Amino acid sequence: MLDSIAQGLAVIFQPGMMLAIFLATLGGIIFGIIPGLNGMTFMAIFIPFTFGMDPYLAMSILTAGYAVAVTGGSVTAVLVNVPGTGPNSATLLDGFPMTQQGQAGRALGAALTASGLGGLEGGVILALLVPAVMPIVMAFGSPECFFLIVMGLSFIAALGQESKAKGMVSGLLGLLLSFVGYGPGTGFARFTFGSTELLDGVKLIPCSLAIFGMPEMIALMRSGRTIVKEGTEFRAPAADIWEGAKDVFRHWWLHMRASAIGVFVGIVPGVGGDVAVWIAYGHAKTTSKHPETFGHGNVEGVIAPESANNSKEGGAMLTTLALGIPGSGAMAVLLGAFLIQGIQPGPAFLQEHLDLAFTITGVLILTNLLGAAICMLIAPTLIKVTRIRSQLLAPFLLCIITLGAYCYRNSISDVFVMFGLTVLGWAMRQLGYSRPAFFLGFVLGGLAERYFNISMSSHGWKFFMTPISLVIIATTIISVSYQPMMVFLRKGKD
Amino acid sequence: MRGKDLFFLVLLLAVLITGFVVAVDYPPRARFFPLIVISLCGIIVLGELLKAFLAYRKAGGTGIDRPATAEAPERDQKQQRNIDLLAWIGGFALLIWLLGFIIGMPLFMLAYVKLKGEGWRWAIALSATMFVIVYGGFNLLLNIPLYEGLLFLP
Repeated sequence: MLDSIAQGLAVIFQPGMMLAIFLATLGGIIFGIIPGLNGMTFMAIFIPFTFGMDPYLAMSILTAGYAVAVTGGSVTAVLVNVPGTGPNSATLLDGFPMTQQGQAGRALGAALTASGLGGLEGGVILALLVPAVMPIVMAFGSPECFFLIVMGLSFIAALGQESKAKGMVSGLLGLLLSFVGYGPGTGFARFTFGSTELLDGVKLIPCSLAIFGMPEMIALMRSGRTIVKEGTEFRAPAADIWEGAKDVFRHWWLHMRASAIGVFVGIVPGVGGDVAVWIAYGHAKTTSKHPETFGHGNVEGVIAPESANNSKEGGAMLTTLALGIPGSGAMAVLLGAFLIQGIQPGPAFLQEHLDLAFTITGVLILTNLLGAAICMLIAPTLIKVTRIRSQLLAPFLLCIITLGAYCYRNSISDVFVMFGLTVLGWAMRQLGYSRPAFFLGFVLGGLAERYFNISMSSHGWKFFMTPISLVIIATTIISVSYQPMMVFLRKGKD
Repeated sequence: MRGKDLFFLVLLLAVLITGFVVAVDYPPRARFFPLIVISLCGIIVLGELLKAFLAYRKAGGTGIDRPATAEAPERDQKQQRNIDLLAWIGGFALLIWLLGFIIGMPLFMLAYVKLKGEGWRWAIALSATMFVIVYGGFNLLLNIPLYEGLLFLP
């Protein structure tokens, strides 16, 4: 165990790795600052370029860029009232009023310090919990893995933004797409309609780019303007930033509670960062001595959501790495990145690649601190990215995305598969269907079928009759039925 | 429910029915999961369609939202923008297919940036940057054999 920790952390401090982490952190911040792009888009776009890289380097780049995007997003939330990423939406409630009151630096200092420390705490909790879950996951065989995947799939409905039905349809469509090509264990080609390009199935990279990257790029092209109004002033003096950083230590107990909320919500699959920040914000407001000042520039309203949105990654990583259940759309993309590297997160992962788990944990901690420091130093300069006109940024992104789709297998058919799937991705975006649920279904569909076939071959129809499988089945049923039951009981009381 | 939602659901139902018909002929193990997923998805889609139909009946035939006539110019403008966008992306795909990455991408950058109202300076600078990225970065540095385009294939 100690060897794995030492090996995992030693990898991070190699000069080449440090440079890659630094550049990925910078890239993640820029993606966070640009509204519409986020950590998930960063991963989707950069996964193709990490193909063929050393897995430690590849996963470090993706983790660094992803983890720090929410830190970048807080800059636009505070300074221009535009949340850079979804989880920054609660920050602008108090962050922007502080900017309007001439306290932009203080709000920025508080947001970035809370982000950096929140990420640090999330990473530390992840490092502590990984050894704790090891004995449990060692007992997992293929039936248990199958039911874990079913559990992950059961959270599809929770990822539905507009309605549960839309979430379910999205997830099931993703599952259906994962069945294209040769079936695992049968070797029978399905839904290829005579196309030889589809025999190997739809690949993760063209799919992730079509579902997440292309629709955002099209929206940017369609808007035909800059992201923020021209002429907007961005000012944040250093003394004020330092004052904001001290605010986090003045409210250290609130920061700790908000971070704990973030980690806990992150662990629960299917809930996601958007929920964590609002729970943390609500908690801060209800426990504050001055709840009436929330929404009018209370620094507590900045500290709580920013602590939660970075710490949640530690929790989300735990279920992804140890159980192979991606807790969110972004974690599903990360899971896809692991699969492309030939590594499957889940029970066997901690046994075989414990050092990689600690590399990722170390990168998570390092980039959160590094990201906060970079943002504090160059935020007002970086934010000028939002002034780039869409007619300059959009075609550039279109070319990079297309190159990304091609470079995975050097196959032009992947590019056209991506263009074809973009129609679906765009329709889903416009009609409010859940793209994370779709991708979760797509990533887990093939795995579910594979584990089901192995379980059936080795155990027969009674493969679910193992103690751990039964516990997972019961947990799945309870977690799926808990909310509807509570609603039903509440209605009965009324 | 909007007309667009309804259209999407009907289209989805047609895709699911096709998928079901195709999957039924597969061997038992190959069709097991697809049939479950298609059936579940079909039930939800049918349920949503039924809900829309009932809402339509209840509202006396006005349950499907249609944009007001007063918004017609705005709608036309939106439609024009969508057609414009579709043409650009379709044109981009065609350029890549015919001319490949090294010529197609810088050419697209040049045309898009210039025709969207930017000056020649931006158009040339960005297309040159794209050429450096594609040819210098991907082809020479990363040694990736880039697609050369249908017109240049041996």
